[in-house]
Amino acid sequence: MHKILRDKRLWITLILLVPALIQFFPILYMVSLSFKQGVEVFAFPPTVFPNSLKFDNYEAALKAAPVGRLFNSLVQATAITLLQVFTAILAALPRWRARSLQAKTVSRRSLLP
Amino acid sequence: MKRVDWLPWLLLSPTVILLSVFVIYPALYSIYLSTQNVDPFTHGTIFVGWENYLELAQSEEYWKSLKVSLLFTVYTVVPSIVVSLAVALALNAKPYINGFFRTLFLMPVAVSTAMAAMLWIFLYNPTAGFLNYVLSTFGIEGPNWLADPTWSLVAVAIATVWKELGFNVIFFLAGLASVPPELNEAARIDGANAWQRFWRVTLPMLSPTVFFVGVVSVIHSFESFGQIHILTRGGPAGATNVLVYSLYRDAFENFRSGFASAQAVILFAIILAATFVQFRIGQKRVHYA
Repeated sequence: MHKILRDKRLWITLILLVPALIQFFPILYMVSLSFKQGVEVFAFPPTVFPNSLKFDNYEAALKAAPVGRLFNSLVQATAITLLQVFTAILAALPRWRARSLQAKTVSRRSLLP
Repeated sequence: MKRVDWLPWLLLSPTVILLSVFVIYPALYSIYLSTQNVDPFTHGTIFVGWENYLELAQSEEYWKSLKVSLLFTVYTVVPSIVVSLAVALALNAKPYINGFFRTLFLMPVAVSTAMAAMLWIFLYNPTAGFLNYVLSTFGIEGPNWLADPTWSLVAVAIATVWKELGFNVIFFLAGLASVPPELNEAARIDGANAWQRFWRVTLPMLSPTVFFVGVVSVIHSFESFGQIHILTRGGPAGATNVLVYSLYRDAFENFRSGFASAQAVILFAIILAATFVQFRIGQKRVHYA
């Protein structure tokens, strides 16, 4: 028992659980809301878990925003990521090259991290 | 005669072209527009010189917007940096289920701004919201968060910190990973306690990261728009009407492009000044290994 109490990692874990659960709770609540039906959303007291596991909201959402529109997001996200990574790497190269040239001529120290 | 090294220019050209077309040209154009009065229907312009700026300087509403923006920056940047640094330090001390914690802290970053804001509308609901329910179990009667002028800015700030905390945690973890463990080890052998080691070793070594996160967070907070647009629309009674929101209203609700451009130029100047001040402070305090 004394050994467990002196375990520093365990204490850090327990302390971290508080902010971690606070950060996670809204996401859990979002998932729970997505299963709630009608007035259940505004029930008092609010419940963490829905009364039943119905996928009605998901069906309605897919009807309102068909898979085709998800495809739009996919294209946009892919294009932005590729363009950003591509331009950023190219832009960083001259700086890196200048530094490695400098390192060769000035001193070897700047090669160290 | 020295040969011109064209390779760096070639490599930089995609960035330069994209930035020129989508950032620099529009920015210069809005400086031009800020000296014009733009007709909302014909888009014809008339030169008015300083008039837009004078109107802003005399507008009580705009000064209030400036105050709201500064408060919003303080409310978001300070808690966000302090909490994320503390979380990163704890994660760096190797707790059990470390990967699980990292996932939980990063999750809100993956939620889109619009979705996060909708979610907080539910959480902030004065009668059926979870936040006030939790407060009531402690015997505290929670305010009507988003509709109460004294609490709405705090409410928007909490939602913003919640969303962006994980991002700063990542930066601090990366910074902590580059602090050589020998330094802390040596300080420990010399008899420094955990508190001294943090202030004298870890924090100075981490100062470039703190500086970077600070600069980026301040810029980011001045430019916050999405969550404000969904949560409060600048209300109640202008309590969350930050500079960007005031700009948006004048540009897209009141159709006063010239007046809005003047606000954009001022906002740019403020962010530039804030960054400049941070760099000046950074030169003295930041320690680069």
